[in-house]
Amino acid sequence: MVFVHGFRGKAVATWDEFSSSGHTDLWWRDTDMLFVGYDSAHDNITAVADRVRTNLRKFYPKPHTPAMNLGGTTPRDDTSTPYGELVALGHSLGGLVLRRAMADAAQDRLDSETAGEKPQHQEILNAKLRLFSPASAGFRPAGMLGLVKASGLGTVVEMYLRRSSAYTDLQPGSELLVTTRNRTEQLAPQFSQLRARILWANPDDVVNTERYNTDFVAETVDQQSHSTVCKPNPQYGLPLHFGATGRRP
Amino acid sequence: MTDIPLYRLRAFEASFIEPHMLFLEEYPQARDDALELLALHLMAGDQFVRGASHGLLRMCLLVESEAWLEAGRRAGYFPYAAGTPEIVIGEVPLDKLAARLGYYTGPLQEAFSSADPNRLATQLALEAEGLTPSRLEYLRLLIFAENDEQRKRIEQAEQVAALFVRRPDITMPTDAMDEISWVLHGPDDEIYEEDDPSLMEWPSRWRREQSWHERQWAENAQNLRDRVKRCRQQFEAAIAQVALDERRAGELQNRDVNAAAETVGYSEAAAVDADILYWDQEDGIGNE
Repeated sequence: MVFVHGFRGKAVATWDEFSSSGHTDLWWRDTDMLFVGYDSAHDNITAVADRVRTNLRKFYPKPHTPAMNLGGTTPRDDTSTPYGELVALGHSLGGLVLRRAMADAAQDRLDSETAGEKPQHQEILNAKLRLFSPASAGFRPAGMLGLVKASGLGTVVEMYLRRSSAYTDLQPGSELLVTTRNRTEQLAPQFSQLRARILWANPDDVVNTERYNTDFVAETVDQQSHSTVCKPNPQYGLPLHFGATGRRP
Repeated sequence: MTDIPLYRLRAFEASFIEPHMLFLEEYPQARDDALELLALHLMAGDQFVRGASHGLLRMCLLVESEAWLEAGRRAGYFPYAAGTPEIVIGEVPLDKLAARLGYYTGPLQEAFSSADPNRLATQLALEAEGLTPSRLEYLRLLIFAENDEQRKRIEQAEQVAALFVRRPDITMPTDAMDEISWVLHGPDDEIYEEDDPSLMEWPSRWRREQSWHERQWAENAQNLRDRVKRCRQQFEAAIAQVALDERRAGELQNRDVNAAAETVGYSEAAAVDADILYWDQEDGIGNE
């Protein structure tokens, strides 16, 4: 399972108790988890998407060898059998990153087939795409203040003062949002894996809660905010169930 | 060889010990300045050995890592049998420095016998990624840096904040933002989701602001903390103004779009009438 965080830049903390979920459920115990980190205030969204797409082969379909052996010690007996399933979970901006990565992989396959070449970096097209309040339709009109509440003052100030990609590209109607949506909707009939399952927070005061036309009908969870929607805890187990199945119980 | 507790220990060493050891090896001056200060017992006021702050921070984090190891062993998370090699800094074992570093950290080797391995695992993951470059710089400046450096660095941030307030449309270059990143991303409320009292149970508590009132050096840091707080309030006010301006601009744009639609309708109608009149006049048909 690949986790891609949103605005605040914490690869693991975004997902709270996902990292210890193996103690609650056998399905999770049998899951290796890859938490992707990037600097949301500095990095271009397209660059992060490219990084995810091109580096996934190091971790899938076979387990990442350097992580499976530390000083001659392994976490389990079998560290080489390929994985049976790949799930990509994205929260907020991370959802947009994953969408872009998958659309680019699909486009690359078509281009390669047309050119008679072998496509590369196709691993991500094996993923089941499950998103928590994705930022694929950009910030809400009152998004700046909601973003401060969700992501912290420092992140928003830095994004704004740098005019980072995460700030400019998430203005509704931006080139990045429009092209990602158009490409996904054009390619999804051929590549059904581009269709996302989505769980929205209600209320979400940071991002526009719009899905693509080709997505599955979205689910909503009340009394969770944009930042808490993806964080399981003993009282809120839905993220674990949604992550594992793509649906509500 | 499959050995889960030992695997965890190796992962812990890679995350919590090796980065700081590597830093001290790559920057021997920082290491030696810190060792000199500790040897001279100079830890208060302005009597810092210049340049010691970087080394001291890393040494305190290594002392903290020893406490995590002990907590992990007691919780059954790490093995007792296979130990981590003794940490030696320069030629000085860390154990010998720990007592003097206690001026900064307070006692860390307390009984964590009730630590739940699941909670420990989650907390270790959070701690590892919480020590960002901005956070490290914040801690270094607040706890270990000399007054001159503290003053210079906070003044930089205050200048940017004041500029932002005056010019909400400003864009800042990357290097300027890097210099003030510690103010924006370093404080506790940028790192931790909430002011959770259970965080004080862990060996990292010495770097939690809520524990600083216990420390002798905290008085020196208070002035800087206050200035950081005021600086952040300025940034907050400026970003709130930006949000308000963008919202107003959005509303104005909607209003203009609506108004323009009405205007176009009127002009088109008038243009159609004019064309008809012209045609009529050219052909001499109609109006005279």
